[in-house]
Amino acid sequence: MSLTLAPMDNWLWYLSRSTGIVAAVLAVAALVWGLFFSARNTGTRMKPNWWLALHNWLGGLTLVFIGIHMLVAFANTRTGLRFVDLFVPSNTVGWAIGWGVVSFWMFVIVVLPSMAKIRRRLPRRAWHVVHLLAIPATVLTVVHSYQAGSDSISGSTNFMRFLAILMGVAVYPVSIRLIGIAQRRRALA
Amino acid sequence: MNARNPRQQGPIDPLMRLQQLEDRRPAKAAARPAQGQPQQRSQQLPPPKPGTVNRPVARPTVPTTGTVTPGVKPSAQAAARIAALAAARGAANGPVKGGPGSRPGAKPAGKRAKPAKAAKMASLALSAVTTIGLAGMFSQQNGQTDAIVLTQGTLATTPTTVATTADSTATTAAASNTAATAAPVTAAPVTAAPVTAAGVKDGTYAGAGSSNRFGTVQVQVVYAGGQITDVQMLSYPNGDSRSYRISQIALPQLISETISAQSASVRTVSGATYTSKSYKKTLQSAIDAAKAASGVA
Repeated sequence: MSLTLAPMDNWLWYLSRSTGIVAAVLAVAALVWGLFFSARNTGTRMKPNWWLALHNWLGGLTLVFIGIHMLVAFANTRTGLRFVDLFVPSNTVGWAIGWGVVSFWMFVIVVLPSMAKIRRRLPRRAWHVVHLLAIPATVLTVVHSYQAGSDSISGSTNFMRFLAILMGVAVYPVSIRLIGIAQRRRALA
Repeated sequence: MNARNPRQQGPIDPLMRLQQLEDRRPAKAAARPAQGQPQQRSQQLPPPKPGTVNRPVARPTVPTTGTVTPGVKPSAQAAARIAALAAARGAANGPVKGGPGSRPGAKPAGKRAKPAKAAKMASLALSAVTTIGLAGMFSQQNGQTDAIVLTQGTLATTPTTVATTADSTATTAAASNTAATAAPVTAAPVTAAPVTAAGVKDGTYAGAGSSNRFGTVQVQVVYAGGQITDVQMLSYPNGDSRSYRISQIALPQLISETISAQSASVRTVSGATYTSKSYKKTLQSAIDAAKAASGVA
């Protein structure tokens, strides 16, 4: 089978898609780890600090992959993205990409205040409220990958299944956490 | 009773505070005197219970030279006493990193090992491998399409021709875009000529417009000798600079593939998925119109 070498723009496009998919998976993984940790549903095999350390790491890694995703998309001349489009949602790029920009900023707001030096200066309540932005940020990430992703538009059933599984995985610990909160409130009342 | 409550009596005496901390160490560790230093306490107090910090406790009298207030340098005797207690603490806890007796590169005493180090490295490696693997998979998917096109043996000679055709098409389309968009979007033959051996009459056939969120794509196909010789853009997404740029890049590729494949079976251009899908629809519509006009099934 003779294969032609893909041009640079093609490779950047493939890399942009793959980093986006990996970033979405990492975001969901970080969310799941954080929710299991906060729900005290960490089991006995691993210590809670193991869960917390990995949660922090996954959050940081998500941001790194989002950054690579954005830079590669910008470097690809075929996408026609301007530098400002990476950070400001606008009608020029449409909401499909705009959701991605919004979720990027939400992840920045979630991850940066969680760094030890900044977190020490924040009241716990404020930090927690900000940290909860991770849930809508993850949802927006999935919406962005559904609307802007070539794979979903081209009708790839595998990609649609992947998105459904991703959302399912995220919904499970969210429901566990919510049930736990409801039970605690009921017990206190 | 010599103890004092710092909340009630103002600033804490650092020497007293140090002594207090010494008293709270486990008895076994605290009982070990520093090398070359006499043991200065005759009795040890048990470690306090949690929650008893800053409460006045009974303690043996410790000779001091007076209260040291913040900002005031302690006297030589007090400084020596502090140094002795610090040395005793160091002997109990092991050598301090960077201090005498410490191994080079040794971990600081009391610092925890980083948890989940292996899991972190595994997640990083897995992410990197997945990224590269997915990129390779996407490339392979498009590569297979390239290979199919290559087997038809026409692509090798196409690029030069295509570049010219594409440029002229893009220019023509850009110039006539406004008028073309306003025109009714129907599939109808524009011109007709004698039927060729292939069965399709020579001529130009317009396809039905196909709209997507970025605009409408409409093409007309030029048949000559029963072959598709050219595809002209009647309308394409160019409402904003980004759409225009994408169209300028994607449409020439789509047109070249159409001429090569002689059908609407062209691959989707990465980064221009909407335009590609609309292009395929309108192209198929134009080809159907040509066949219908020629009476070819």
